[in-house]
Amino acid sequence: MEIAAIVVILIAVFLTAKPAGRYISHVFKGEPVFTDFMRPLEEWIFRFCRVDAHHEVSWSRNAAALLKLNLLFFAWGFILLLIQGYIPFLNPDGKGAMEPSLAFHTVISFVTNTNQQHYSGEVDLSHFSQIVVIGFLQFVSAATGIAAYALFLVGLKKRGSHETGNFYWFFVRSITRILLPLSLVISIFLVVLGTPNNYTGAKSFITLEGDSASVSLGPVATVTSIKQVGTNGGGYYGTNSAHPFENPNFITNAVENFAILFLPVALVFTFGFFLNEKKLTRSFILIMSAVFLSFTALTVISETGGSFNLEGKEVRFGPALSAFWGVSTTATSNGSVNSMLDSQQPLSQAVYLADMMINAIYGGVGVGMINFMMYVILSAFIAGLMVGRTPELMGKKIESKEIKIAVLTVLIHPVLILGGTAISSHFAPGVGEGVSFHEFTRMLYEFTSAAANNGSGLEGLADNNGFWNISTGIVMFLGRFIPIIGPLAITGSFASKNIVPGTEGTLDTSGFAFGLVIVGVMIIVSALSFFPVLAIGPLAIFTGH
Amino acid sequence: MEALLLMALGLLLYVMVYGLIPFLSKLLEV
Repeated sequence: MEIAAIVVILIAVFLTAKPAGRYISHVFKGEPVFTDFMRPLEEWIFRFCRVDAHHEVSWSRNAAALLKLNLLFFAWGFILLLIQGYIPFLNPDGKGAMEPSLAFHTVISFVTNTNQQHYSGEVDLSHFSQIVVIGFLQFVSAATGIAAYALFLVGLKKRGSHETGNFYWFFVRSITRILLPLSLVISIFLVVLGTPNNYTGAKSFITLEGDSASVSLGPVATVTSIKQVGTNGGGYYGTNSAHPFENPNFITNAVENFAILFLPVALVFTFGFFLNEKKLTRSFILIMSAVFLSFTALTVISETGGSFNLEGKEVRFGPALSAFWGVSTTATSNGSVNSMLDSQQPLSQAVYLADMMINAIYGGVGVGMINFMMYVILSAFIAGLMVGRTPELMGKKIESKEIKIAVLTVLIHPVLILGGTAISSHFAPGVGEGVSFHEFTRMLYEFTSAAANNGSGLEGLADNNGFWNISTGIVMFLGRFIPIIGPLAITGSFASKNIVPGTEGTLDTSGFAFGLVIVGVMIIVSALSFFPVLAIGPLAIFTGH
Repeated sequence: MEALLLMALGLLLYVMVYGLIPFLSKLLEV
């Protein structure tokens, strides 16, 4: 039954992702689509915010706009969380101000689309904060990633131009044409299937044992839908989608798992439709899906075979669907959970870490494909050098200046993860002389999740304190914006180049052989960077040390 | 006070990444 559900979810994702990818391509190109009725609202937003969204500008002006807008979101969320207790409405349970370092971590976490949570929503947040800070940031952070991807595609398409589109135009349309309609559909599904969505306070009741207990209610379906659609992952409740209100049954679990995978896969297809590169896109989809399905098989076997690991899992989902969710959520930079990852087998934890270390197997909305393209650029360069052909990608010559930035973008990821883990292994509160393999894995996971803007965690670190809040906050920030700014610069450079006609000396980047080179480069970069830490983390436990 | 310091840290991070834009522009000559 569980395996059948996994197959059905995957079929549903791949059947719908291709038409969705075509639709998103139309949205990016400004071609007529069925959501054109949103145009008056978009124009009103542009006028109200006094931005000129209809003229294309250079990559540097787009990057500056992206950063300025995100700085505004950071200030907005940080201040609102600090004054939460003084806001007189939508706070039926009287939630007070958030502690400053926790507010810092929470806001950076949601601005960067990470949604790593060192708080529990039902304990620390008012309904106002859940909607105006958490829900709002989940929309705009996902839209930032999608808009950055759109700018990247425009840069690849342009010839001899210094303009790469307009960030504001893509940003607003990503919300009105993609995220809003999709999250509306998913939230209606969730409400119909039993997820609460209201603005009442906590309800008290008497348990079967005769004790008094209270359960928090609120706009759960609203927050949960955008959490999955935008590869955000930040749960309404502390236990995320393992909570019976946030993910009530087998069907909601399937709907949410579908929502996790849908947009990341659709955005890969968008690449082909937007740039008219169907063959290359087919190769990308095959590479990503081969790795994703291998990881899924490994994790499902790890959780269901042998000891049939039910620890930390909801019986309404079972171990196979918990494993599949784990792979889906770490592959797509989502980070939501429907089981306790800390209780899973070490091999499953190693797979989740590998997913986040590569961070491009579908990846987060928009940024996943940007990360993947960095591997593609590196592969084209390496393969070109190896066989003595001119390194080119879609007719654009790859020069050393682009390679320098691509390498910087790819290497910032291991630097943040390994640097953060090394520092925490020595300085984190509560870390003594003898760090066990499992404790080390927890720290490694925390920083991998932060740098990959994933947000899931093994827990058990008691991480709501100044050290973890600030260190992971910095890592999330740098792990988000450097890998966006670098590729935008590369695409700015590509936009200014003209197409070089293909010759006998041109490397074919759309064939099977080049696909293997991409996989090789991904594995080599990740393995060389991360194998040693995996060996003294989950693999050490797996091998019985 | 702690909140102000953390706000300043956030601003500093943005300024650092913002500083990459002119650096990369110069490197790529675009």
